[in-house]
Amino acid sequence: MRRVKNRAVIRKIAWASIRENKKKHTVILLAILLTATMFTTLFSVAMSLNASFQNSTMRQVGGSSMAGIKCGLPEDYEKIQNDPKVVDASYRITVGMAQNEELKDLQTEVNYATDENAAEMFCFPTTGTMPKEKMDIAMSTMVLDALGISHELGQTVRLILQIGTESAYYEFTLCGFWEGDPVSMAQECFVSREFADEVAPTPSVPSYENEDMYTGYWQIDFNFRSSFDIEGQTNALLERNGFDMKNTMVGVNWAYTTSTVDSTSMLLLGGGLLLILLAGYLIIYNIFYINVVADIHSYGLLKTVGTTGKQLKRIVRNQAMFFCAIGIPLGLLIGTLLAKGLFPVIAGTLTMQESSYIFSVSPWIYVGAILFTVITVWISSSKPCRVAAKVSPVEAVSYTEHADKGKSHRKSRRITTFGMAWAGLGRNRKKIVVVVLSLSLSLLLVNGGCTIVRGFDADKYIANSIVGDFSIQDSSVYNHASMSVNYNGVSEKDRAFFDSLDGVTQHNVYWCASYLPITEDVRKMLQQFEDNGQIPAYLEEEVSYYKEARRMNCTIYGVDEFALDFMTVYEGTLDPKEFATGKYAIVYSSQLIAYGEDEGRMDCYHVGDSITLQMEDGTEKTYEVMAVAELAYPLQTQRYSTIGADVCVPAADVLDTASDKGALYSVLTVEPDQMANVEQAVKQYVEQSGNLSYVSRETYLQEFRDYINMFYLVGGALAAVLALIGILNFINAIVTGMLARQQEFAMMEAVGMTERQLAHMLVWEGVCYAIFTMVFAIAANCLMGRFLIEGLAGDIWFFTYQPTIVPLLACLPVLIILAAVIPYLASRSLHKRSVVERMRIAE
Amino acid sequence: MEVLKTSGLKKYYGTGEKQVRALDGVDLCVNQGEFVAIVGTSGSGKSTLLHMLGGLDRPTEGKVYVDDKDIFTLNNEALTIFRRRKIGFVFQAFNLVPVLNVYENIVLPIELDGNAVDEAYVKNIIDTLGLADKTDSMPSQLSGGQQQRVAIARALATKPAILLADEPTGNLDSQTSQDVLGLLKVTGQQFNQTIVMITHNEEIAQMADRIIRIEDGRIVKGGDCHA
Repeated sequence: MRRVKNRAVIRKIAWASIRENKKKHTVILLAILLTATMFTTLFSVAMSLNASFQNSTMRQVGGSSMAGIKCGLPEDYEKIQNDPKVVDASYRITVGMAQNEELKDLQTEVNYATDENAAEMFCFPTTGTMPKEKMDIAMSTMVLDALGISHELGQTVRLILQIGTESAYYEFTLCGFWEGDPVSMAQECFVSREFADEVAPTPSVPSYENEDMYTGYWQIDFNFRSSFDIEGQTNALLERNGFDMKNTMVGVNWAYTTSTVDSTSMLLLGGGLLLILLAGYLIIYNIFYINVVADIHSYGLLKTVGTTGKQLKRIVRNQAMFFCAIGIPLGLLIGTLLAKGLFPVIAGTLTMQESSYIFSVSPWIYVGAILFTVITVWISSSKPCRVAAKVSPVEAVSYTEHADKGKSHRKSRRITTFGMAWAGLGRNRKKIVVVVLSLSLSLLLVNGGCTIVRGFDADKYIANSIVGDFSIQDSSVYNHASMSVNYNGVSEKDRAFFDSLDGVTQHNVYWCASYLPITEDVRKMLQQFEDNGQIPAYLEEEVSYYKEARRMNCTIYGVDEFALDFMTVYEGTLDPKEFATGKYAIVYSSQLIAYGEDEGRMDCYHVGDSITLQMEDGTEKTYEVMAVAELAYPLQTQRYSTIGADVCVPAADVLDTASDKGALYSVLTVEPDQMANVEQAVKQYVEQSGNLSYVSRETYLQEFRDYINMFYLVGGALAAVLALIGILNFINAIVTGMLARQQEFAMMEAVGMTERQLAHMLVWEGVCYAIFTMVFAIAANCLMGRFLIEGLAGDIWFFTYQPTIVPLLACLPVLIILAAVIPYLASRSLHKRSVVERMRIAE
Repeated sequence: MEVLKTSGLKKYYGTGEKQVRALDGVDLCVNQGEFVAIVGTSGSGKSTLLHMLGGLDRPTEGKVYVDDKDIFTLNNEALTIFRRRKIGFVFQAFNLVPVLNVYENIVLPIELDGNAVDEAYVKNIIDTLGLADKTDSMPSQLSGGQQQRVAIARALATKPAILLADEPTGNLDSQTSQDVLGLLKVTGQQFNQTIVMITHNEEIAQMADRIIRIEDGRIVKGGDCHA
């Protein structure tokens, strides 16, 4: 191919044309800017959420390293450190656990750690340093608080250390501390190497050959260059370095696994990308196409003087890329700012701790946003490029917008401004499709968003979170990190206090753990699961135990009639009077189904069966099953057992046989006028109690409102951008439609059409667009709304699909006003030039 | 009887050095039923003059009387309405509305005025111009000559005081030009219609009752209707 140095002149022509039509090109710029903004916001929020989830998980796990070798030896560390594919290897040496009485609710590990390892565990001292002297110790503020030691360096720390099987007492000096993380599963204390080597010397045999497999062994953490398939990389690493593959304990940090990106969020991200791509395409294509058609004369001219089609194509492309060069950076900036505002709101509703928020500024966000915007612009401009390239020099001079082939004959009708508008619309149906689609997008989004929010059921949401107005329980019940849970936390004294409050009715739930036999049916089912390989590895042992023992865990709830109102009944009927007699029990025993592939339910017990329960003091009592029903979730223990049953019996049966008379929950219902007083009293009492916590209906209502507000905010922002695009597209269609027909309008004026009649006609055209849009939006909503919305929100447990088109109809007046005002204003600008001037344009 | 008269009509474009005097003091008059041709070279100001006569453009100075009405005392809206009632236009580029069929194009000015169409009169015009079998056709289906005949019918349909024709045969071949112009003249006589036509074609101009010659924005011959 012959290379000709013509790039410069092509660029010059492209540039000159841009300068010539500044106003027209502002719209393109704006469109590209909006597209880039939307992509940046989407990527930025998605990446930030992902990073925050990862961070939050890492903090729970207690480390940011990708993988680790547990209980290794120094030579293992040497091998790992010297491996070329490993980066950031670090280690800590296990010493023991702190066993002070004050620390019984706080798992406290004592280790020696390198500085890098401490930092990797988010445990590097923020005040003071890591241990230097032999008896130095650094620890989290949560341990200090539990021990009642003030946050000051140099304090004496007395710890009872369990090292191996022996416990000993030591006195340390505080050399550093950091803010303890309540999310983390264990708290850390770091001692000096000297101390570690003395009390917990590293054994010479591998841990799997030693009885005490922890004390003195090295926990080795490391990273790879990429977080892709960490497990595979780790296995390869071990094999490469000759580790005992069977016995070496390996841990992969599950913060890195793909589980953080589930299919729903992928779907949302993909949907968002498509939506933006479509919206961007619709406007950019439309504008480019119209511009090319408007400039077709000059393209024809260029062709007559010898510009090739390829070069013309390049002129249009150059223009597009020029706009990208300005629009995209601005879009990236605005998008980042927008994401920064939206992210905390979105993250806040995902019950993430605020301290876990990470606003990501990963370069991938910008690479992605730039790439997608350029792709959108590229796709959008390729048809206009072809049109410009294909133009024939002769045709170009008399080229008018490709009118669709109309009818050749038509019966005469009475001429009205509406009729003329209608006939005018028929000329370019493709343009109508583009405008109607782009206007509909935002309308559909608004309607979809409103449908989703409308489907959110506050009662359903609250019913799954709280029963009654207040619920008081031991704070460990709702704390999933706590090691031991107290299911009898609300003492008789506590209950008496709550009962004494004005306007309060109290209902209690008592708890007792027991066993129930596994029936033959269930045993068979378990066997089937096992045969199908549906039982996860970590449950195999437990399942085989249940099968052998032929019994399963059973949680007995002692409840009064009040709780019967909050049950989901699967079989039989609940009769409070009969229940109160103490002859009946209500059983629910199908948790284990959750592990199977089919989501069906299979119960071990049915109505009329007789069950015998062993209570805490060993007494046995036989009940008849009244119904198969599940207790409301807020009244359950908040914990699942792998295979087990929940049985509800009258409260007295549990209370009378229990050694600890404390209740699991105390549920208060309150007269509305006493609500504030009771809240105040409960709050104060719970704070002073030391072990209790409470939740209120109001907190959950607030949570619900926050959640809904997020939808309004995010949906509103997206709808606003899409609406802006739609309106821009509409303005563009109207204005260019007018410019294209300028001469025709001038001629109609010459034969006597007044400005007002012309304006009427244009307004009618606009109104037709509005009506088409509305009809299309309603039709699309009815056809696909259910499918899309249930796909998006169907998984949310408090969502019920309730179709509505009220939001669409509410938009109708706004749409019609816009559709009427824009052509009206545009037609006024038309008359700034005289009829003669306008008629002459085409000559 | 005079239906059209101008006095001291001037139209200047630009100022100072660059000023162009498109019309520089034009006085002319046209009688009822007359067929007048205005001839001149390209740039002589004949199109500008026609635009002034039809109220499409406002003069820098001077007056235009149609049926003794000083048309430039009207505002734009009123002028447009006056135009559709009193003046019929035929343009070189035919200028039919592409989305309306032949009949609708012809009655457009009447219906824009909200008036009932004088069916018999319009049918008469259509028959005279030989368009009877084309009334339901769309403009894109017609030849140039046919389109121009529709434009003439449209101009006549409102029974205007004057019919202004701007190079009506400019886009037609010579045979079609002869035919169209013959029809224009015949219908003018038949409906006693005053016609003012501009052209640069001497042969075409010869078909008129009177020829007005214009050069550099001034009338050099034939402007007086009493001569």
